[in-house]
Amino acid sequence: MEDVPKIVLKRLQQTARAEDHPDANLLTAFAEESLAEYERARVVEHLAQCSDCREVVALAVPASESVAVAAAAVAAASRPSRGSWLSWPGLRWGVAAAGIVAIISIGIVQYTQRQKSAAPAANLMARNGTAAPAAQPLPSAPAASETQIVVLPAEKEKPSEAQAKERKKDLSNGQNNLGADRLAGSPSQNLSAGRALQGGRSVAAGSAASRIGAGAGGGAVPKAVEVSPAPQTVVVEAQAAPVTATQEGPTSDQVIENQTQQASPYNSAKAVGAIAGKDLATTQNASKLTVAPARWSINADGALQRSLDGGKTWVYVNVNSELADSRSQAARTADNAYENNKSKVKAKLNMIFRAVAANGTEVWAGGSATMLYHSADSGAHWARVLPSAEGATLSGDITRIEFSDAQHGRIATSSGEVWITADDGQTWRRQ
Amino acid sequence: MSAAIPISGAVQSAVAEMLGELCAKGGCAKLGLSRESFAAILRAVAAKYLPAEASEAEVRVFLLTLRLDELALARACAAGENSAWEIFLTRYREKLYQSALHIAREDSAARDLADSLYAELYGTTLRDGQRVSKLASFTGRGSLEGWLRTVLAQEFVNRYRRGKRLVSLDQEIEDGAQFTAPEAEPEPTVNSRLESCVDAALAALPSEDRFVLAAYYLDGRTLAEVAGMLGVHESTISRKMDKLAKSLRKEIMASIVRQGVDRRAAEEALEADVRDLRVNIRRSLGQESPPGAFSEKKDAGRLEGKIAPRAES
Repeated sequence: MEDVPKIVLKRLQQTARAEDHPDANLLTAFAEESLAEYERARVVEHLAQCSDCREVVALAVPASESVAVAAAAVAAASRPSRGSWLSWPGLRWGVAAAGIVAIISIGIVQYTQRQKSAAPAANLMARNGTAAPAAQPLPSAPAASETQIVVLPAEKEKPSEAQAKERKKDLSNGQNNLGADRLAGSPSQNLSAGRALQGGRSVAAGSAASRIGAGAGGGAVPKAVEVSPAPQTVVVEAQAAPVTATQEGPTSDQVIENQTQQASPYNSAKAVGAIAGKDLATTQNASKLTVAPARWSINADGALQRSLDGGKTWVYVNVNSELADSRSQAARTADNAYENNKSKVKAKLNMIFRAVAANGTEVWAGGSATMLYHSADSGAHWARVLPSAEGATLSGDITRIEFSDAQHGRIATSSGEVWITADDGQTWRRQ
Repeated sequence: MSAAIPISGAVQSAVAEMLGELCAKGGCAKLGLSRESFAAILRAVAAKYLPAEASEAEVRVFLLTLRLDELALARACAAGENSAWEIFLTRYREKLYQSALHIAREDSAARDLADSLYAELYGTTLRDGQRVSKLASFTGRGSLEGWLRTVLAQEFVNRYRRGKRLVSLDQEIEDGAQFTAPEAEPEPTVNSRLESCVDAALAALPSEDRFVLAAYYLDGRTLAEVAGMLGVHESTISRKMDKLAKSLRKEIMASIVRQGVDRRAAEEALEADVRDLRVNIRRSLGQESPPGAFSEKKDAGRLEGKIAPRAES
């Protein structure tokens, strides 16, 4: 996190001035996101200036929610589990580490190919031996060792996994081929490749990549294949965090730089690695665009809306057919404006949506009085869902829905409950 | 209370027309709340929050977004209905203690906090010889449970405000707080041009950005906490913060250079004393200020529950 100059904070503090504090009703409604826009603007403006009210809002966040956040953070740090991919800083380091491993390993393969006739294997070994310690003090390495493993199992169920797998297959095929080439070439080359990879892995300082890779002590050929897990993690994680991936770009370059100081032919390898990374990023962007065709929102009256043209026009979506009937009836009697208004009001009485989350074609929408609807086909068909576990069911109004992917989601209610699913709403767990 | 705010015709007629529906939804009959008194409550609430020129349709939508059942319950309690109190206690007693514990983080303080709120809810304060319950200031904008948490938090901040944050002696020693002499730190002399540039850059920010900055840098909240307050994901706040810090710095630099200050000098002025930032903030937060910010005892009977203005540091 970049620090802000002190003078800025000093002035920020001095803008604070005496003013009427918003009352408890408004602060509550702000926290529950049920204020009208003009009211919210006023409250936020006040909060920006008033540390007391900020503290009140922070303290009044439901206990279960803040506990949930803390628990997720602990889980991310300690063990591979559901919810741990929520930990963003970890992911960022993971991306950096995976990028380093990928670039280095690709670079090494390239390098060894170029050196087929020239470089003696012993020389290469020596270089790698010196390069590794240089990179070790980097802070990214230890951090990665925790997060890396965590990320992989969590992402396994992603719908885009198929694409990722394909790409991975391409990559590993390529490397297999390279390995095969070298096999045909000379046995000493294979040995050097194996050693080189070992060097590459130690650069990651015992990071997850080495743990993912099976059979650490195997021969040269399995090692060449072993490279594939690293590029795979780059692909999967790039999908979760394209922005951070690019941000971390310079860092990985720096690492490479460190090493190239000792082994200058790596420069070409570095370029290759960078290009490979770029390609991954572009394919990732493209796939992301095609995944999200519909946009969802909730208007001020609590009605669910969908846009199929990127937000230019919005259409009301009815989650149950009965309601659709009453709405069209209302439209038929549109000559009587008041009547129309009344039936609309009635419809609203039943359902006021307060939160919506969409992930590809999966849509979740929830609101007043435990109302929760799920659609697996971008809103064409809906099913009502009532999360329950161990005899307890969700209560209160649904105030927040978060789905980090199609399977994993959290739902928070006005009664302070948090419900979690890891299987697209099939089963729920109360937190 | 309602006399203080003029009630528009739109509010009058909307409440009158929808009263049956609203009463049913609020469950007034069960709670022993008469239609007339509920109507008066609704009118007052609508008049309080809606702009005077709101149309009847707007009033209708507004009324339907209120937590009618919880509003009716709270006001029935305030009116001293025993059946309402029973419902309130079964629903919220346990939650109230839990919330107090979450806020105070310590059992005896939590009990103290919750008990004092109970007293206020039950109405120990007298006004014109009448018992006045704090529940009379609940307006159904947010959930009753959320409101109770907020009121607890206000009371807590009121009591242990600022310098009286619960800092254990050990921690104080660790931090060296005891040994720092506040006056040893010289006020950094900053030229006024820089100050005005910073002010302008801050003023140009949307209020939400300033809120995020203040919560993170001044209050020392974690990213997760800030995200929780705004109801967004932590990663959103993290990205926003990074972007904000960068753009702020750039903006300030640009404006000060425009004023003819040498770039190097400007950079130096901007970077002055970044190191003792935290210490300084802790010190300024530690300043005592007069208690009573959220004391609603004076005007507890008012529907408004407006908090008295207070001198800010």
